[in-house]
Amino acid sequence: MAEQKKSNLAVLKNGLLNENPTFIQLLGMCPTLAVTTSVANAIGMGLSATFVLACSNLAVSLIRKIVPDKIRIATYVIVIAAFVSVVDMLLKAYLPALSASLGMFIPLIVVNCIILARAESFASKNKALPSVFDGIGMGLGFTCALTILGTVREILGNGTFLGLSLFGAAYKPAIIFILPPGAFLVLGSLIALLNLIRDKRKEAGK
Amino acid sequence: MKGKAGSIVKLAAVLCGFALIATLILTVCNYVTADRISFLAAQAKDEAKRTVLPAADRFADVNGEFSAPVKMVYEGKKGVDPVGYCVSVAPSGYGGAIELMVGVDDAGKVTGVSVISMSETPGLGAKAKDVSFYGQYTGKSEHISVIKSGIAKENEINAISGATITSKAVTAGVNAALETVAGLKGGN
Amino acid sequence: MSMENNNKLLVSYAPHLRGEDSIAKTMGNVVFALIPALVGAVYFFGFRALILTLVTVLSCVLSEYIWDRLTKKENTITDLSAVVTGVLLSFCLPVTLPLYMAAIGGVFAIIIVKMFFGGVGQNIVNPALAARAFLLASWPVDMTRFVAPFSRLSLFGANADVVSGATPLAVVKGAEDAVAASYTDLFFGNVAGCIGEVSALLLLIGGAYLLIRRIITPVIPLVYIATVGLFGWMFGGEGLFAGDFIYHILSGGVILAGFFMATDYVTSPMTAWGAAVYAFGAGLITGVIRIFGGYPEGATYGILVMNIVTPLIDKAIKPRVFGKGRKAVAK
Repeated sequence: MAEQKKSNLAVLKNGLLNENPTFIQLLGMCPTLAVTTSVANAIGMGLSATFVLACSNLAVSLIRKIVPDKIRIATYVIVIAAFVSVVDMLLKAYLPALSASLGMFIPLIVVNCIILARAESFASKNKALPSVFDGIGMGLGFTCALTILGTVREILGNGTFLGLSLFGAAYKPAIIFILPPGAFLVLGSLIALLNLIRDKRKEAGK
Repeated sequence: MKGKAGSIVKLAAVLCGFALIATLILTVCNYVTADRISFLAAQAKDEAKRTVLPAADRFADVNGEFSAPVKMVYEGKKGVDPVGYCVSVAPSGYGGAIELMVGVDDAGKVTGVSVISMSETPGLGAKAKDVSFYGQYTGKSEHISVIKSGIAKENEINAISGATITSKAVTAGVNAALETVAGLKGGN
Repeated sequence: MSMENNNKLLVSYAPHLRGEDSIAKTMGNVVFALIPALVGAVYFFGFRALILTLVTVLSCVLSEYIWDRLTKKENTITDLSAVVTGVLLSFCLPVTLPLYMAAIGGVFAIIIVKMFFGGVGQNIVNPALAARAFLLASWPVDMTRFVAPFSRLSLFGANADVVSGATPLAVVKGAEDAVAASYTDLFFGNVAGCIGEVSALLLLIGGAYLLIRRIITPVIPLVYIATVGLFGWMFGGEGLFAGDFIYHILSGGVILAGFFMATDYVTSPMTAWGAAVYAFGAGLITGVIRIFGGYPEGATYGILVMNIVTPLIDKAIKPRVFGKGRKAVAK
């Protein structure tokens, strides 16, 4: 039991750090670049994707033995699409403001390649519990990355954090950071920074 | 995973089965949320009308052909007395159509402007959503023009700095609403 | 990772034979050629223009120095390319721009556009223009607050309350409060605009110097400026062929961009025909943005886009290999 728990934690950590879907695997770039204009959007998107990931990983893992190999991708897509539609409806009904600001990007979670990638590469080969942990780990990794990106962009481009003004009226925000080019600039710089840190650590480890 | 790949019929049946289960889940979810979603949508629509024409408590569609940018006209009533009109306009701004709701009272004065949706540049044209900008329209009754600097006179409004195109688009929408209402009253 | 160190055969791109011209010498000549326009900027907009230029130059050079130190690379500030970037950047800024924004522009030009891509010779777009685009997207209000020449300006302050003046290009856009400038004012520079772009005469003197010293070839400036003018003539008026050719050439930053920015060695094609295609494309985009676009001036984006296309042009139009048939390449 104890060993099982440890491996689940390792799976969780894997998604958050070692194989972070955004910064390391560079998956799901479309929502990453498009919805990180504010921290609230980033967290909303990240958690929605996490929910879908955990659910679809669980479902895929449970049905992995009865799904014929030839139609597995089609089946996964049905599973994922169903969960995304559920999230979309729930957000529309209970969090209309968030739903309005995320707009098209919630239905687009269907084609977020992180989710299909985890279904194919992890959930279809592992038991239910680790699959759920993998989904949560990857989802939280995605959420963290989006939140970091959203924080940098919102502070620099709007002078606010979660809508709270940080610097007062005299601060002139650099609007470019909440425009599309700002997304690329910040993401590129963050990846460069993380690679630098990793290289430094590797050197230190030698 | 019994045997090798089954016949195509079997594959189709399995896929169909999964699709059926997914549909079932979605049906249940839709059953739970549909009412609330349509209620929220209707509320949001009425909300906009109510904010721009606070005197009215119910709204009726006005039939007729309206030329762009006017999309729809609603007559606002308090009880049975007509108190004014709400005009839905969609002038084109810098980043596409700007959907506005404009309230005009019986005297032909603007009672309020509300931005429903737009895709103007954040930090620039998107400031049209700030009350400091759209509040300027309230009380105006004649053709409104935009000035870039200085103090706005009667029937003038100050442009959002750096976003003249957006300011002019919104103003064009409000002017169209004023004309439409004037036309409706002239026709009556 | 450390492939280069272990390689016995060093493979590098042409040119393998180098002349005596060092980067520093070339850049020194460019700086020298920019001096007339800088004097003009100070004459028209006062000493604040000089301060603005000093700020961007200092910011560029310091950024490069600090980057070299942090990454433990050879110090490259002596090649003067950062100075050129700084001067050119300041030339496409309005004189009222807050100085800290100008400094941020310099940091962006050097760190993000130049050093992130590997330093001098490796950048894919012109650093000064990319920084201008960055500043324009970041602070559009401050970046478009132009003043008429000889306005009284605070040397270091914000200058927020100075009456703004419309640039000659605002006329092209059909702004109501804009009045067309006369050809003489445009030629000598007595108009509102970015500090280094206003005087056609002084820029042409600098450009002629570069041509005589063979720092640049005439293909890019000529094709670029002519394309913008022709496009303005064709589509800039009421109906076809009713625009003002000369007005389009003299207003905005076309001459500055054509002689000093489009001609950047690193980001322009190697062959004469390639350069012609490149300059034509840049001129076309500039014209389209000027006449049909939302921005007042398109020179920045015209050149930036063609900078990115340059590797493709070089692939399509290859330089003739020395000693091989002349027929292959039309000359």
